[in-house]
Amino acid sequence: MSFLNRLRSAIGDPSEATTGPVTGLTSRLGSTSAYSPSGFSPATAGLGSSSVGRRFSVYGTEDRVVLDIGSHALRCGFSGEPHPRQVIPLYHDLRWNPRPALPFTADPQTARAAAAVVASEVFDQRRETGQALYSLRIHELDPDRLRHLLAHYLRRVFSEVLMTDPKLRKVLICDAPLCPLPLKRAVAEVLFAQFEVSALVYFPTPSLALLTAGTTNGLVIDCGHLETTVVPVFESHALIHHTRTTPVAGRALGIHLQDLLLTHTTLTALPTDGTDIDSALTPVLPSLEEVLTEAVVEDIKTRLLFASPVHAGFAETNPSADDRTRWYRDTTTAADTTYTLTHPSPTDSTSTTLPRQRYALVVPGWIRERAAEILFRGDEEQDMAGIPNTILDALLRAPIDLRQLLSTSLLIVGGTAMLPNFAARLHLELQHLLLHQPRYRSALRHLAEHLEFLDDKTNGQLFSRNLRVWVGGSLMGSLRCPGAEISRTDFNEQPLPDWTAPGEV
Amino acid sequence: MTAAPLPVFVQYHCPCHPLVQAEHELRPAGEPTPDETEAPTATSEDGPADNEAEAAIDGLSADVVPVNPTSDVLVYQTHALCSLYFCEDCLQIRCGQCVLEEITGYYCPNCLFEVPSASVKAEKNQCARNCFECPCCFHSLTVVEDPTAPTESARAQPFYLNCAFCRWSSREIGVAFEKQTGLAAQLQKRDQAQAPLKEFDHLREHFEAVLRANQPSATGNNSYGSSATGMLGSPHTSSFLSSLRPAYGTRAGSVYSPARGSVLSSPASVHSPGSYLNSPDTAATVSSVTPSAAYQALHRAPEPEAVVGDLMARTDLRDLATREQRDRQGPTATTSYALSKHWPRRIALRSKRAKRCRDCRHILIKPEPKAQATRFKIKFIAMNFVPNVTIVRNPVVYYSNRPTRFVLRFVNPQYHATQVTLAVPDDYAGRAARITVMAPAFQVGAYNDIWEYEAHPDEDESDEEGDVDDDGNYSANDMALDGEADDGSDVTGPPLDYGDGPHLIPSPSGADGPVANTPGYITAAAASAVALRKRRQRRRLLTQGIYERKANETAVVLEATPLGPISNLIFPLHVTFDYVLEGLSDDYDDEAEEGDKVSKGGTPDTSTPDATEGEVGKPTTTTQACSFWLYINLGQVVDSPAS
Repeated sequence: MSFLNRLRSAIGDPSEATTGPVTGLTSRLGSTSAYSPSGFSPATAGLGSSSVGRRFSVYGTEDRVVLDIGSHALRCGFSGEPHPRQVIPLYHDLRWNPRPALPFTADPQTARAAAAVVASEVFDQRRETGQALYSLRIHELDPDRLRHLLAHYLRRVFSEVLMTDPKLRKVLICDAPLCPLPLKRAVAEVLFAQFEVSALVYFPTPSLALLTAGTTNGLVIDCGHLETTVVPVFESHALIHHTRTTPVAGRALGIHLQDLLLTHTTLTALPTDGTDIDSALTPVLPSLEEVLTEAVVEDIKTRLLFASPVHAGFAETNPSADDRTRWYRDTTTAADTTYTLTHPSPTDSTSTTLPRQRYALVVPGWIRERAAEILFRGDEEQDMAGIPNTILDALLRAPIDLRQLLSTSLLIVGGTAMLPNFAARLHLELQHLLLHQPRYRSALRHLAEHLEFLDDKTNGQLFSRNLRVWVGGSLMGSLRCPGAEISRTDFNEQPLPDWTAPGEV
Repeated sequence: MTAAPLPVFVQYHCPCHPLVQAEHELRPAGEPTPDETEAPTATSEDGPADNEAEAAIDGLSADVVPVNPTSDVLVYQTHALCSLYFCEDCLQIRCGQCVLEEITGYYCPNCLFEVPSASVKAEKNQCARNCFECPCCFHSLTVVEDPTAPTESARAQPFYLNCAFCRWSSREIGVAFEKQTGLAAQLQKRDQAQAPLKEFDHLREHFEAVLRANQPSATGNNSYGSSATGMLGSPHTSSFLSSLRPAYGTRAGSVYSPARGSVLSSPASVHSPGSYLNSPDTAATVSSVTPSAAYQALHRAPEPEAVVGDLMARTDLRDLATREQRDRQGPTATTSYALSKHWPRRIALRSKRAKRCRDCRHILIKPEPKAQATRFKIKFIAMNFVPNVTIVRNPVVYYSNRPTRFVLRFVNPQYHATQVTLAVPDDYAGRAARITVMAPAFQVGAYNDIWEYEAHPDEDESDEEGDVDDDGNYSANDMALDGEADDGSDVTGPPLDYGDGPHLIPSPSGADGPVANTPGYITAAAASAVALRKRRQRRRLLTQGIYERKANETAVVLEATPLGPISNLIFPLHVTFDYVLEGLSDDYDDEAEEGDKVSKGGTPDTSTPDATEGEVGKPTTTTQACSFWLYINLGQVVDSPAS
């Protein structure tokens, strides 16, 4: 126990509020502030809080381009800035937008049936592959397609968003530890071959995220689109071998929500402006599959969902799906929401030829409140663990003397974690598991009252969760911390960062 | 691959491969590239027995089809003609991927103000004047004056921003201005986005202090920041620095740079906390470097509590920001669900960009620097050089194994006549149909903006050069084609074979039967002798596979026999055309008298001045053959209805 205390005082447990290390550091600061390392221009500090946020020199190219490439969004900007220049969504198709179209058959009756078949086929296909940049099915990554996609988006980044010459810039890449190697390689190849950037620097995302909370230790919970990863970080070292992941994340939430909407909602036609719905020909209602495109589901997901503040406690240990639905429906206090949409969508290229009709989709309150249960509960059928279980598993796997430290510095990042009330509910679930689940109670019970989130302790949501990794990269880039640089000339000789590669021991 | 039907298209393939320089590393060993799997193309056994066609297809045999037409990559490697460039030096089509872009100027798309590059950087690529975009619909906002405000305070600030599209007004969020100008500066004072900026600086100063405090020696300070390798070579790297360096797991950082990883295996960087604590030296380091001891946030943004309550009671979507609206708001409002809390955002600048060929570095596009000017100083776009190919006639649907004809039109944008040679490879991966080119080589007239509107004074009947007015001839043509198609559809029994189908290659005798029997033909035949003459000529052209010929347009007939049902019948078509370089240099001045238009007999490979059937007074020209691949989608193929 004594060495644990030493560790805590060494790390500087904020709960102790000791003044020793603080004053020690400030006195050192005072003595060292006279000199400035060559990397920082004296003007930097003075301009720090200028109104327009001018950083470094105006013409300089020393600040790096910081890229955080996820499967669902690409965040790009310059280092030294507190937020990315733009968040580019990656989930729209590029140029051709395959729509379910009527197959040609001579017989009108079979044509109608065939249309339904085609629509559902396309629908399934879209659900399988998604429109994201890449999927977890790494073996299906077509390297050519991936490179073309990346080139398309990165060209937009450099020429439209950043409007800078990539040849003059070094690029800092926020490198997710579990990023598929083919993707990592494709990014590097495109950046070097197509954009001729001078060098790449890689930093692992969990460490970067922690920097935004002013620390280098913590348990980083990255809840993104494809998967949720829980990585313990100590002294900026991502303890990659103690990482736990689960595919329960934004995409799983979207599919789950889609399933719920398909089974529990109906579509009603709204009267179009100026025409009386009774007098006009009653329009044929499109099928829900046609209407609930990925974009619509994404919109409902990001606007109407929230994490219920109430833990879902069932009497029986393993309730059936129907029981669960009934319980959700009975206990909800959320109101039903009318979601209006037009079909065909106004952005659809074929829509000009077809009459457009407005429809109302009533999203039940219990779906809005409980769709996110999948994040906390997981999915037993598909063998996906919930996020709380994954966090506790990671704590179980972590070195025993780090558990206390990690459990008091949980940091949630990632876009899916921006669901309202996510953190509070996660805290509730973690405590519930720690106290009631035998698997965790024995080993981790003492942590239950110590669970703390880093953003609560420090700057809150000043840097929103989906941007934290990028902000950390920007911070790192502005610190001029020399990372492992890979320059264009030695790209072929030098391996990309890859913790799976056999290193020298 | 079953894909949804796409619209019918003609796409141009760009030969560039800028993305695959390091491909050999990526592609797993043993997996052949698409090119290797394809059989070498095309001897001319199926092609029409024509000398020129043979020559063309022989020329093609060296090539292979660049992309499998059924692959996903086709989307990215083929382009519409209007988005392509043409490099006169490489004689190649260039696409957006194989040009290098250079920014020549910045401007605001709203006020067309040219922004000097210094302020572009300072203003974060946004217009610093009066241009704002609507937080709801992203339309540009206009400044509106309202002197009739009810209250005194409102009259003091009569100006506000208004969206002409969605009627959003800045008064909804309580923003009004005293002056009409310099709104950005006025708005800046109230900008809420200052907190993240200050906190970011605070964080940076904090870490800088930690870094400085952990510089072990003066030499370390000097080497720090100068270069990465210098730092890495220093044996005094502090543990904090090394811990900031990307490092995974137990083999801390060594995998990043095996050659120079010695620093990272120094005792201070060993990650295990036990070893930290067991060594007194490193324990001291930890206490001094640990940043969390010092970091206290200056600003704090608690998680908004009201959002959940608001969402729970919500019955409609009003005032609920979409994700895009939130993303565009920047840092503070990303968690803000309420659209009524969103602020107008300054309009992002745009840039004018010059484009260079990646191979020869010649400039292809150079815009006028002035923001208002839409002209270009240099403009090598493919539409001015490459024949524009469109599908003129195409059946609604194709039936598998039934030969069906369609018509492609070639429009020549050059001021010189050009010889176009078509070829379809015999076999390739992803082949969906047998394609027969009826007119493997043909002439397309020169572009001349006067000709287009003039009636033809003397129409010379000598076959290939003749230009035919198409008035009144469409019907005859349609009948000719439809007659063929109808006739083909009546054929029962075994599917038509390639060579000996009844009407595949319209010989005069073969074409006469069905054509003459159609009523449309007879109606037309009753017309004047001129029409008869034209029709006869048209039919003669048709026997050569030429559907119609106008000033600088030639439409040719092709025939497709789909091999099976497919949702998109996409096939590659190799096109060679003569590109005429005009007045290249003074050396050719003496030849100007005899230099002239290229005759139809100009061989594709020639790059020397042609001097046949001269027209005096033309400038020096050089003819060079250019070739490219087209990918043409004819639409859907379904099974033939049971007979």
